[in-house]
Amino acid sequence: MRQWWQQGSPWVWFSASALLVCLGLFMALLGLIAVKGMHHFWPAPLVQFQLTEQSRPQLGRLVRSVSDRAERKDRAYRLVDRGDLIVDASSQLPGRYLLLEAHQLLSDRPKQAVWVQLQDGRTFYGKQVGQETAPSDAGLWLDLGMAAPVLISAVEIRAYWLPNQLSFRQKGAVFWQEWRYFLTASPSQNQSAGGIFPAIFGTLVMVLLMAVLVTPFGILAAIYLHEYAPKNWLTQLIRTSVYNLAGIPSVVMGVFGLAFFVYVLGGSLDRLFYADQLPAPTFGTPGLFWAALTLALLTLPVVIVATEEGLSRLPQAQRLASFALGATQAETIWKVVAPQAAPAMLTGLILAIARAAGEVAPLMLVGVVKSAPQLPVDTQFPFIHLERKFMHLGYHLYDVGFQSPDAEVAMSLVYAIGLVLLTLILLLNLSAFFLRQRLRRKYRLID
Amino acid sequence: MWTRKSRDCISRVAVTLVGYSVLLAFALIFIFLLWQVWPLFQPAKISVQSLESASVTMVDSYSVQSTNGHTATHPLMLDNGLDERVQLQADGYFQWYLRVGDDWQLQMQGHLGLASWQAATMLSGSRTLLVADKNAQVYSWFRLHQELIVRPRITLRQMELQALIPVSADSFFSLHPGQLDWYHVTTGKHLAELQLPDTPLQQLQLSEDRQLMRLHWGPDHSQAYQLQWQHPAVAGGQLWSAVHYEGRREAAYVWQTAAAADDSNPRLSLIPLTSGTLKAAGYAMLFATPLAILAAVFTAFYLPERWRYRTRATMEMLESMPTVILGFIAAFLLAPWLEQQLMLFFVLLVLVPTVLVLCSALWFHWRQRQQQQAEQPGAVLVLSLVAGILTAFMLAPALEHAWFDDSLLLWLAGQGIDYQQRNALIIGMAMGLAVIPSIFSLTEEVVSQVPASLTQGVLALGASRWQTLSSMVLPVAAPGILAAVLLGLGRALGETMILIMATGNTPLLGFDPFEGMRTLTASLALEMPEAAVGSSHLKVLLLAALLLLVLTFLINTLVSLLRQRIRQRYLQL
Repeated sequence: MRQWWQQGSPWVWFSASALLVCLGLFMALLGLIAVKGMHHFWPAPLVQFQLTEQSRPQLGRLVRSVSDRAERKDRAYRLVDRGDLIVDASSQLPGRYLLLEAHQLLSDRPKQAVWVQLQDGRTFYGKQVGQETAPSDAGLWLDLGMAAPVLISAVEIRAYWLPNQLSFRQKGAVFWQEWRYFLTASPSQNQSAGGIFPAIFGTLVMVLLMAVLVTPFGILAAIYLHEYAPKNWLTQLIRTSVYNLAGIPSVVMGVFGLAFFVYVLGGSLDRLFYADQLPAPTFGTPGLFWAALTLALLTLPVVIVATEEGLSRLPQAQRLASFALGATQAETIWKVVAPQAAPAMLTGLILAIARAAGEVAPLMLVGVVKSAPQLPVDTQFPFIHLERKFMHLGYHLYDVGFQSPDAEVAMSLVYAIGLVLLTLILLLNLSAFFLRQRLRRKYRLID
Repeated sequence: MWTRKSRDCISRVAVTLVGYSVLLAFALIFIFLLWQVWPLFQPAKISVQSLESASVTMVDSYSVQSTNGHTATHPLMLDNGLDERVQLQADGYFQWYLRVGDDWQLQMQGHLGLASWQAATMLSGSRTLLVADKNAQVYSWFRLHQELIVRPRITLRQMELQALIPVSADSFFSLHPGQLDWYHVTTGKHLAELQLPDTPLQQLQLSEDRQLMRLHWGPDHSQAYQLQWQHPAVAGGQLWSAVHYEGRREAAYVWQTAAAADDSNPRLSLIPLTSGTLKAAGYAMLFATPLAILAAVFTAFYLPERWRYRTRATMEMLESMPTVILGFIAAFLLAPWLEQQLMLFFVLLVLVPTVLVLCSALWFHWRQRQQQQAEQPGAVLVLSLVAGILTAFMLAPALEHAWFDDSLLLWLAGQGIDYQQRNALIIGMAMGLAVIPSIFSLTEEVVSQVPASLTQGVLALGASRWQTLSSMVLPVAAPGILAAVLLGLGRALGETMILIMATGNTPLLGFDPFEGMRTLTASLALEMPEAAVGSSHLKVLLLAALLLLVLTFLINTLVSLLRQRIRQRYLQL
């Protein structure tokens, strides 16, 4: 036993399991988001249920089973989504989501069950009872569990399918179609339906604008630090400030962005150039440009550090050779050093973009809104509208999850948004990682 | 030749300027925030105002003789200009009225407990009654339903008191011959003073916004003054000390913005927010530090090179996980799960390490019996970990049934412990997960860079791998590991999205694991857009940002010093 303790056996076991737990938790998290996000688009079978013995059977989508432990009864409930409801005077219906007991579910899964989504984002589940083919009002007759069937006009229908009849392959086709719709459409029904295109677009525009702002600054600063800076206290101070800039909490940067960029700079811009529109602010209010500027400040150290690392991997002999051939320092830097360090700069830029795409807190202060009426880039002069507010994937996720009136609708949608965001960021990081790997290998060979 | 040289020169100057501008940007953030926050700490001032701006209409006017205790008629009738009225007798007996519609209803009556008094007033627009006794002490009471609540006493100047004059809802003047003093009731602080001419003052007038005051000594002798007090909500040290606000039974640390407060006076104590930040970061570190350090040490010292590289790359990748996703998972998945399975959580916490220790001992024993080297096998370890988790899953309901009558939550409620769904445990786990990669990466780097000559020397002397690690590697790498923990702490202090989403956002004091909190960062993100430009609220939020900035600055500086030190140590070895 003594030997067991002396050899540190329990500690080794502990540390090994700590690693397993860390990685396991992360993998579980990623897996969960992937599965739940994908699940959002997979056509679920429709089930039939009856609220009371007398009422007409209705159709709904089975969301999940719920067991209520708080009540100390092991009664299993099923959460069923009835879709958006057409409310008529005769039916006094409770909300969209219902908790049903097992006996209320009917075993029968009707083949004619239809899932219809309208152009405005509303979804209906009903039994198809007929088709109207007259060209004037073509559409579907659906039995929605109300007194009479309802005619849904073909013009209004965005997509419909009969999930209980679909084969696995057809479900796959629907799955991809829904993904495509999700990525290219605008949100509807108070963010709870439709797609996320404006959020993706807003994120991209903001991030690209930020890249335009941060790249020259970051690269020049790195070149200064590595090629020009003398070894003295001032350089040390600059290095410290780069290091500390990286450690500033992002929300503090957002506060600075709002208080300085928006209120002070934007306010003065308004007074100078847009005085005729005051008191309605143009630049004196959060917007795309200020958000990009704030995030540029936030990601500046990322670019500097990555570029400097690339510069330091370049063999000193190349610089000396360049000097020996009579080149000036500027020529050495711009014709010999910088082109070879370009992949490192690109790495830094990608990392900065990944960081910026995942930040939400500072953006909440400097320009993101829950739904923007116009995209920040359009066909009207001057094409890029720097003062407009925009939508952002991360904030959209927060907004749908927390501000939406119906948490259940939001849940699976949020997983889908999270999956898109996570994929975007992981892809960016992976590309930066492999780029850096390649660069390292290359200069290891030269050395 | 000239152009080449000049191009070189231009390039040097341009690049150097950009290099300096980084320093400037960093300094600008600091200086800008300091400059914005500075007015918060400006003391109140009474200054002489030139005559042309004295055309502002004065809404309240007090003739000095009427409220003087010596000459005043008893009983004295005081009112707050709104809906409360107090009738005060010479012996300290009072009757308190409230206006309901058009009549005055008696709310309460009684004796103040003072034998005599010399001046009294009610603060305008509030429920506070101020009474000065003969020893220059000002007592303040306010009515809370049928009860009088006492607030701290204020000691005036030892001079003859002519009158108490209400200035705002929580400040008043005390008028002495040749002297005017301005006091803050809530904190009892002396705000400012003004020397007056010796001629007896006849009338004092105040403008509606309480920024102008005019004093009359006679029909053609008057003077206007400006009252400067920009940030009454923080002036008396309310930021960091407990304050007895009107309408509360005792002094407390309160964070309540103007929109949430009942009388639209913001209560801005930074204590609840700061303690919330520390609490959140503390629980996150409690969860993350052991896991991350143990995992990093194992990766650096035990894993084969190929796996080490992969693990490190994975962790680097995970460091960029958007925290908004973690926050969402914490709030919508983890929090409801933990509420249902609190018992399971505790059982896991105790049982898994126990099972691990047991299994390791058994394994060691068995290998020794077989006369083999007790190496550490991966498969057995994974199996025992899974076994521990499964046992916990099976045992938890039974234990909950046996010890807590089927529901730990109900039992906790019975003990008077409030369980909130979004609490510090959730934050500990979610934010812990967010800081694990930072701590892991730096620890792993530091431990794996310990010079090989050292470890090989110790191993050659016959020490086991663990002995090498604990007696040689860890002490050498200790400053680096400390730096890693501090780096994680810095990240935890500045984290925002997880805290907005999974804390419940109620400003609470204390370190109860089952309660939520509101942090500085969450307040910044949620309240900044709504705070009016120039308001005390906005300035206090900027102060909070400055505080976070200074805190993370200190931590980061410490981290870079420690890293520098460990680099030098490795070079020396």
